[in-house]
Amino acid sequence: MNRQEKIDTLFEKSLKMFQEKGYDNVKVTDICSAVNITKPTFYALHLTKDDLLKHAFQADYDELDPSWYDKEPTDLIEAIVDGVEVVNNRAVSLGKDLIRAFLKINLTKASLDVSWNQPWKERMLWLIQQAKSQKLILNQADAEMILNECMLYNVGYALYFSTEPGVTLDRDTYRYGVRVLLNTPRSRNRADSEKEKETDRFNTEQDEIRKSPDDQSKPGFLFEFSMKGREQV
Amino acid sequence: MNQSERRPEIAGSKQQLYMDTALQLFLEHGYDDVSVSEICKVLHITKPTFYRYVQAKELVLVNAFEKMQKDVIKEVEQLMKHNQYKDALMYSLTLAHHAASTLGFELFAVYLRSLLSNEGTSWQYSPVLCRLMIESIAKLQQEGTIRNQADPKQIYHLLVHLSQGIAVGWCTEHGAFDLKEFYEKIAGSVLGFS
Repeated sequence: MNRQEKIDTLFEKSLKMFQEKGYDNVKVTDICSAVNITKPTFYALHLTKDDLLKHAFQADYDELDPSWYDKEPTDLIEAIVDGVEVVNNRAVSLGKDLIRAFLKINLTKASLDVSWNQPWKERMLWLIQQAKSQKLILNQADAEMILNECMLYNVGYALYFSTEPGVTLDRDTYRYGVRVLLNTPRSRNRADSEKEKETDRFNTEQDEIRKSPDDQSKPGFLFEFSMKGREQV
Repeated sequence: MNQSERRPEIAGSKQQLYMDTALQLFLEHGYDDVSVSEICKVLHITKPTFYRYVQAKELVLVNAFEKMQKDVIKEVEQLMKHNQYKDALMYSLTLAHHAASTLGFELFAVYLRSLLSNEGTSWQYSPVLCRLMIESIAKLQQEGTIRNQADPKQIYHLLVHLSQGIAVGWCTEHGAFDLKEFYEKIAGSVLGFS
C-alpha cells in the first residue's frame, strides 16, 4: 500500500468503526489493527483520530450533478439551495452521534482545518452573484457573506438536529430555511403583491455586488469564518 | 428532615446561592480548574450537601443560561408593551450572545459540550420567548420595518439556527469577534431592515 492508499483505507475503515461503536469507543490502536498497520506508521502519516472524523464531514460534493458546476441553471435559487444542502446531507447521513462528536471536538480544539472545496465555493459565489443581479435574492449582504450565513445555518441546523430529541430531517423545511435566509421573492406569501413596488425600489438600491478579495487564509469548521467577510456586511 | 427540605423557597434560594457561587468561581478560575470540593470550601458546606442541590457541575451553566433567558423575557415583554418591536426582536435574538459573552467562550464551550454529551439535552429557547419573537416578526412585517416576508415562524426558526451556528463558530474561534455586533449584522441582512 502506498501512502495515499493507506490514508484512504484508514478513512474508510475508521468511519465504519465510528458508526458501529461510537467515536469515543474507538481507539487509534483499534483502527490500526483493523487496517494492519502499527501505531507509529499511523502517526507517521501525520493523522490524528480527530482528522479521521473531520474527513468524514467533508462533503464529497459528488452528490451534486456534474452539470451543477458548468451549466446555466434553469432555476438559480434551486441550484444555490442544492449547493448548501449537500453539506447538510453529508452531516445528516453520518448520524446524530457522529455530528455530536464532531461538534464536540470542534468546541474542544478550535477551528479544525476543514476547508471548502474550491470549485464548489467558486460556483456557489457565482450562483449567488447571478441571483443577486437578477434580484432573485433580497438578502442585503454580499455574496461571500451570504455564503458564510448559509454555512452558519448548517452549523446551527446540525446542532439542532443532533441534540433535539426525536428530530428527523425534513428536507422541505430545511430547504425553505435557506430560501428564507436568501430572502427570495418565492419565500414571500401572497399578501405581498402590494409591497412589490416598494421592494423593487429597494432592489435598485442594493444591486451592487462586491466581489471580496479571495481569502485563502483560514478555513474554518464547515464554514470559512474570515474576518474580511464579517466586516463586509 | 431538615428545615430547608420542608420549605421549598429556602431550598430554592440555597440552590441559587450554590449555583451563583460556583459560577463566580468558574468565571474567575476557569471551569476545569474549579473542583466541587473547592466550591464547597468557599461555601462552608460538605460535598453531599452541594450535590443535594446541584446534581452536576454542568448544571451551574445550564442554570445561568436559563436565568438569563428569564431576564431577557421580562425585558422583551416590556419593550413589546411599548410597541418597540424591533428592539424587542433584536434583544431576544442576542440572548445567546448575551449569555455567551457573560460566560466567555471557554465556559460557553463547556455548556455546549455538555449539551452534546448528554443525550436528550438541547439548546432550547423557551416557548414564551419563541411566541414573543414570532409576534414581533409579524408586527415588523406589517409595519414594513423588515422586508423579508416569509412566514414569521420560519423566519424565527432560521434566526435561531443562525444564532446557534454563530455561537458555535464564536467558541471555535475563541471569541475572536464581537458576537453581538456580528449577529446584528447577519440578522439585519436576512431580515432586510428598511
